[in-house]
Amino acid sequence: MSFKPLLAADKVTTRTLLHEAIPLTGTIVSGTYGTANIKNFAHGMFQSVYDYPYLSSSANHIFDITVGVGANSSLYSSVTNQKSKKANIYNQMSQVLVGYDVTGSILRFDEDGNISDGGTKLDNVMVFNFARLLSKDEIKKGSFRMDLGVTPTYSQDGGVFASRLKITDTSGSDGYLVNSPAGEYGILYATQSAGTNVLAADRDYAVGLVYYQAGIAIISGSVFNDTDLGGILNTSHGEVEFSDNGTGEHFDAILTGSQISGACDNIRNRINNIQFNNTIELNSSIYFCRAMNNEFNYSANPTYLSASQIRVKNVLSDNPVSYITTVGLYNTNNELLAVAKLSEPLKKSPDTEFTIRVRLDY
Amino acid sequence: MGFLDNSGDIILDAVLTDLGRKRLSEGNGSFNVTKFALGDEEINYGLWNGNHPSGSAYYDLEIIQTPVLESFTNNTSTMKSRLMSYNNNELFYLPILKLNTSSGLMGQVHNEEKVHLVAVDAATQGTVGFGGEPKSLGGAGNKSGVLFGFTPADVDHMIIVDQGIDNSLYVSNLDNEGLREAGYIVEIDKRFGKIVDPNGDVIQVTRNNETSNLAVQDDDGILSYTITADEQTDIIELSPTGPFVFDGSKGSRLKFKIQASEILSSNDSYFDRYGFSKSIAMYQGGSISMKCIDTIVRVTGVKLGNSIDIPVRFVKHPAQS
Repeated sequence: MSFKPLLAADKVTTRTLLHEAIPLTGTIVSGTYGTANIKNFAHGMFQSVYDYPYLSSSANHIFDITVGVGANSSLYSSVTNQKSKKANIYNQMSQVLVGYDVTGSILRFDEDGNISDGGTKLDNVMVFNFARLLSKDEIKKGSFRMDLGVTPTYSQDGGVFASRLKITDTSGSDGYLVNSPAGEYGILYATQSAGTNVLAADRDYAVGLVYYQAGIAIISGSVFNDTDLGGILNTSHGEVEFSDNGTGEHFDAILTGSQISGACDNIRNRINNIQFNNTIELNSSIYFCRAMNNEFNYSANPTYLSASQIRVKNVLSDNPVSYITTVGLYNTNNELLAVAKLSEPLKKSPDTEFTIRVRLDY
Repeated sequence: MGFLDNSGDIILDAVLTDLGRKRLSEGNGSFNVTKFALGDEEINYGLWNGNHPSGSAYYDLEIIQTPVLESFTNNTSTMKSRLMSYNNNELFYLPILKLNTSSGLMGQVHNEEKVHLVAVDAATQGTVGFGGEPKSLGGAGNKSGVLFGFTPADVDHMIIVDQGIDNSLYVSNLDNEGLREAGYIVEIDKRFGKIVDPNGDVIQVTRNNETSNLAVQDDDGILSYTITADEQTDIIELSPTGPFVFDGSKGSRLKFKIQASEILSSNDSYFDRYGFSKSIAMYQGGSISMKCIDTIVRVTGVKLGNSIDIPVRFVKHPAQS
């Protein structure tokens, strides 16, 4: 008489998509904590970015950054530093995100996602792997945005952000591609967001791919090069320089001559902002616990009785009263599997009925 | 646990219990919610003021202001008192559970300690001597209130719980209102002991021609015995004879003994970790510092949900330590 069975109509399962806004300000990526929140590894394959100095237990891993050069890249033969590692990164990313052709060969990143028709391939890429802590189940389609500073002159004081590109997956919300083994992905397009004559033409340029479920953005090195170097920047604007040693070191130079960690340092210095919304797929079981008028009006609480007499009755004909504070969900063996607490006691008597909706999320 | 914010709409704070998570991880279908119960463990019905000068709307003023704690995830710490459903809205008295310590039933508690003592080894029982039984705790069964945890069958002392109306104004047959309890759940911490029947035998049940141990262990090591009158007539008497502890209507009676765990009998590690030393009177004369562990055996009525926490002390004679 204390348990009430839950009928089929009392249980419902639902699926809800929750979204959180994830703003990553460029200062965290490129300077707030100096390099204390940047972790490099002895293997030198990638660099990790934290939201706080990573030696602190409060630090959260937010994303990794690395660069890859495919064997088909025109730069590949010129790579003098960590050549195999840059190729390995490219191959690893492409085999996971693009997959294989019918012969088992690893496919290359394709600018428009139309792999079979050839077209422009992305062979010199920056890779941003967002931690699951941020991307959760997936990056929300149409929400990704990255702002890169493309002011030609090198500086470390924020002066590189006078000219900026906005890279977004604007088509993601109403169109995306599904021919990746890693799930759905969208094309990233770059537009000018600050400065003048930044882009070679006044249009959107496809500069990368964002893999929503994988939480990975692949961005072409072309965003830092002018058209003379095969990039998208206006020649009158000039390509981006990555050092102040007077050599005019451009992106191709750091891709070929720098270690991966050095290249990552240079790229981070150009990140003005990253933001996206994540998606959490919430599967819920909802239990409708119905307390009808003639149910749960008495209590087994030890204080309910005084010398076996019900305290909440002055005379026999008074209605019994009880107060609900807790809902317990049980299995057939009377094992308490879940418990729910009401924020305040709910008065139950024969003249009231309640349906308490308990939702368990998975 | 903090209190829930009760300043606005009523919200529900739901969590899986630790046992629920365990059952979920087992993936064998044991995580299957089939029923629910409502609880009111924070409520003190003693705050009900049926004589409030401002009228009936104020009778429960203090009760409804009770702040409610966040959910406990420990399955044994919550849903201690459940709301009950009876068809009759004119019940004025309800039965309770009460320890029957009558000497005629061998259910006494220890005279000095005022609880049931469980002797965990033969020397403490007094069934094998270190200087003879007078210097033991149990005096070979002659000291009331001392249960034999080592050889439960060797003494008649036991724990007896009666169900009934603790008020002489109600003497009607409990069966008239369906208030006679026919099943009990007995819970004990497995580290310290297990429940045995009045004969000192392990409680078993035969269902579908298969005999199995009745005890079910949860994730916290609590042994739970769901005992029913139709299966365990030695343990539950539906219509017991006197002596009684109730002036009003008499219900059923539960009788059981406790067998101490082997680890309590064989070494002192649990006594050192969970226990204390206390000078306790020996059977005949003098007292001696003995190792003790205090715990609780919880008895809950299956049908009516009444419960009683019975304090129990496991005791070990130092000569065995």
